[in-house]
Amino acid sequence: MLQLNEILGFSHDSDLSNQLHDLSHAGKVEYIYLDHANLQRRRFRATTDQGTDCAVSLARNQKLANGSVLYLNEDRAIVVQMAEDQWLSLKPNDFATAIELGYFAGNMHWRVKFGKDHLDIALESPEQIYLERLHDFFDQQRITRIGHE
Amino acid sequence: MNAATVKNGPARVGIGGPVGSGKTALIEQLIPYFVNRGNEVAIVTNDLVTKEDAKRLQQSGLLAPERVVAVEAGACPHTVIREDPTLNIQAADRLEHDFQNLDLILIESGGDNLASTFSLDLVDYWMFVIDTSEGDDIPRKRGPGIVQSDLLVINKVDIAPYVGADVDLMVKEGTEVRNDKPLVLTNCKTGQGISEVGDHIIKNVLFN
Repeated sequence: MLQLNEILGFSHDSDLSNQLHDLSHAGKVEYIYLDHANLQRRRFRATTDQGTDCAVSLARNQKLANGSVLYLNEDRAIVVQMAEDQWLSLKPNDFATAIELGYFAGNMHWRVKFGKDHLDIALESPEQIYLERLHDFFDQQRITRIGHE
Repeated sequence: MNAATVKNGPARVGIGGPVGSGKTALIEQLIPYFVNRGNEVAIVTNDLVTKEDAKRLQQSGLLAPERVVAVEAGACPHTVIREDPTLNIQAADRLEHDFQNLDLILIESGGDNLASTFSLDLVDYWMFVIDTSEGDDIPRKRGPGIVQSDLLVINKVDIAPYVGADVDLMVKEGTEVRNDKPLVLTNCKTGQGISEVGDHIIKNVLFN
């Protein structure tokens, strides 16, 4: 188990990026993949994409971000990579539904972002859970799912 | 470049769940479990408008009373563990300052509903406690507490036959809705399952 106790910098930092670039050509950069929710953690167990067991324990005033470098020497680097968010995109069919959908998403404590004419809901649990909560909107044909084949 | 032994203070572990599910009883079992293995422990309790749970733990004799701090939520319990956990963060910071060798702070939420979850600004790891008397359909109801917690604890397995609860069904459906994240069966009156709960905490945030 490798203990990682601080954020050394970020992969785009000028003083780190060259080292990371060289190490990556030698296949010596390992990644810890975290989704948005788990990126909030400061203390957790994780396994890198190359199988290294890591115990991460950061100070309370440190906050992980995409590209946080947690380990770096001449033989190896360990970098946090944020897994791509999955979104459920919903287009309300009228103004009243738009307001109600926004209220509903807030009441469910869902993380959202607003599009020009639609609402994107971050899928932080299995998609089916969100669809079940929204079934009244779908059954009454008040919203349309977009960007989904 | 890494100091391998830096710990950055004690781990903070949240314990949530409905009223009466056994959160305080679980803590009463976890304290001796961790003290016996040499860990320094402190507790933050949350009650709506009293300090009832804190007093119960302070009078238990399981650890020094000053290691138990009470937060009065004054509102729905989830508001102070999720929406604005400042009061609880301050309580944990105070314990961390007063007891500098702490390994673990357990933060007990006030009893709440199945939608209750912890902010990861407050805790490093959190568990949700339900019990068999609430009904064996609770896991498949998929409340956020059930689905999102790092560990689901199903307590009072001893009384399941008397309240008509099918524990095997709770385990099966709990495992399904949690995508195979762990769950543990406990009886906090006897200590059944406590070492398993402790092992999950050790593995995930104490690292030893």
